[in-house]
Amino acid sequence: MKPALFFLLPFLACAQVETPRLGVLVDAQSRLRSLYGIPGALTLSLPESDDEALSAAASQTCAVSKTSSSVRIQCAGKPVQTMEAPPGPALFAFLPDGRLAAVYYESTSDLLRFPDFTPRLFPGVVSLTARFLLLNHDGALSRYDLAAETETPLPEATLPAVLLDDGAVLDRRALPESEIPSRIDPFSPGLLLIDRARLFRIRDAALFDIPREAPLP
Amino acid sequence: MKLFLALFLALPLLAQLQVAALDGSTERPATTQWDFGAVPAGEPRETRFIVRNASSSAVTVTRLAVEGAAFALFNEPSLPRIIAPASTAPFSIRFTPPAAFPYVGRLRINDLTLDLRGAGTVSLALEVLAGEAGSALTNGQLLDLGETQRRAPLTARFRLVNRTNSLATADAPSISGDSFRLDAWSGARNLTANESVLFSVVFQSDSAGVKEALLHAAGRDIRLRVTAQELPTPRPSLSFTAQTLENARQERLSINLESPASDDVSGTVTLQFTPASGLVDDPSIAFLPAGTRFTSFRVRAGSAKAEFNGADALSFQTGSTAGSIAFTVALGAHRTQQTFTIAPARLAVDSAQALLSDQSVEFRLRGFDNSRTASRLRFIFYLKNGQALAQGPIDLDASAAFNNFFSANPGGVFFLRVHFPVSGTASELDSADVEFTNAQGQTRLERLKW
Repeated sequence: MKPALFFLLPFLACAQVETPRLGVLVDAQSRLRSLYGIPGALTLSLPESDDEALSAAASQTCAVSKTSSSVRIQCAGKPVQTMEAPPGPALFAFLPDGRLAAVYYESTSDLLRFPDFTPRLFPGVVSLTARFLLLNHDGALSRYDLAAETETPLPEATLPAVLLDDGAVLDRRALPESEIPSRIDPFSPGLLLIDRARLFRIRDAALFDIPREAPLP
Repeated sequence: MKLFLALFLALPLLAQLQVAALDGSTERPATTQWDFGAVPAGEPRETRFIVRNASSSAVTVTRLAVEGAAFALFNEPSLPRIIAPASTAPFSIRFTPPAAFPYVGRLRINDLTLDLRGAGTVSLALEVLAGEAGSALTNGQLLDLGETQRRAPLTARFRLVNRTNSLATADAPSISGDSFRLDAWSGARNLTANESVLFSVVFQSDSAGVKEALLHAAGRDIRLRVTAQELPTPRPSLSFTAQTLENARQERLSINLESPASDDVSGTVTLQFTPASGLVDDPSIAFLPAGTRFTSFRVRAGSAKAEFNGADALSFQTGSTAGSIAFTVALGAHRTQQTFTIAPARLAVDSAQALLSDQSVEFRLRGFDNSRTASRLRFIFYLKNGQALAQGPIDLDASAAFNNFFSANPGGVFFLRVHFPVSGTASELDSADVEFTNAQGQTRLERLKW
């Protein structure tokens, strides 16, 4: 048997306990609020600023919001970056470690990938992850792999739809008829937030857990 | 000359006292006489009076009396009675004509006199019917017709009877008072001896409470009283989407009535959480979407199901703390309560993630500990060849980290990040088992793979 060429250093291990943050949302008054807890034990923070947010998203470590003219990134509760942005809402993607991966401006179709900020034009993005884009070509959906730079048609998929982290597409076929929102979007107010394998429907700054037995891709 | 002088001296004395009859709170001055009007023979008519001292000095009343067989004084003050300037003293006079004749009498207060007049009349008897039996009603009587429910009609039957040997006219009765009306009156007509005519009074009110009206019939004024009760509200019952409750769930409750509501009604439902011993309140245990512990509902007329802002069920979340959750429904006079107990349990993990780099291994675990007693963590690492790492299980005491966190945060939810530095390359690592310990026991997660 080949011996392991490494070992763990338990005496240097550290355990850190925090409040779980599921995400952020923009409430009915366009204020940014964080969602804490786990399904069935959720609390909503007080408004985190008076700025009027158009879009917002968060990982456990960072939150990002889009106002009419800027994108603001906060990590560990502290502002880390503010940058100018075109008007209108935006979509966001995070890396698995919680850092911001990409911003997509709907008004200009610009995709801005981090950390090099290379802008690239992608018309019709309806959802994105750190690696994939979901593109809408006049109702025909396709998945674009940013790493491989390949595009795969998704003839079965229908709007509203959203990408999961692994590139799988969740569309209305996966939802119970009574739970279908008008648009599936993890980052817009009043719609849907996806946290890995579970779904949360957000409405007017409140949250409903779609039943756990709901089929998922 | 002597007579003139006497009258001249007496005038100021007479003017000291003034008499008025009371009609409710309205005063009607009685300067020289008071007429009781026509009253059915043998029945009383009572009038309340006051005597007022209109002078600037106190007056002592030493005499207060009525003369005349048909008149009687009652509720009078004891004498002598000193009446201060501008003050009054009350008294009442009852006129009861023994027969159908005119009667005169006199009221005397000190030197003040007032003529009293009234007439007895031949009148029809007025009776209220219970079945076919009639009970005679006298002028001024209060007749309590009993209770009914709001909106439900109550009918009382009356009879006018000619108990005399002469022809008598039955004039149309009248009634004043909201929610009362006359019914089944066939019109005025002459009644011969022992002949009678019927009519009814129907009561129906949209509002609850004690209602009164004045019925005028056969020369009598009868006060009618009915108590309208609120509509009975059917008893509510609670039903839940789960027979028992566990933490970290979203469930729904609905409220059904034992029978359809007869009117639009509204009620409230309250959630009360009592944490298990040693634990604190958990704000995430609340109704959705507002995150409150109190909300209202309505039941439409004809329905037996409560509505919550248009929905037929109310969502709530069960939070992450052991304890009891009581739901109380208040609807009308009814209180219905159902309580669920959530016992302290082993720690539960909602999501787990393992990250691997050349220099470190990191676990990110999200879950809840409803007794807030998490202590030891155990990690068992496996290589890609399926064997456990020879280094053996690694135990980590996380008591301090959890205690510090729980002492500053309500509820039992947590996000745990455990970081292991690695010596050498970690690329041969395949997976890991993670085990938590709290006061209720151990929890082992499904094996996490990289």
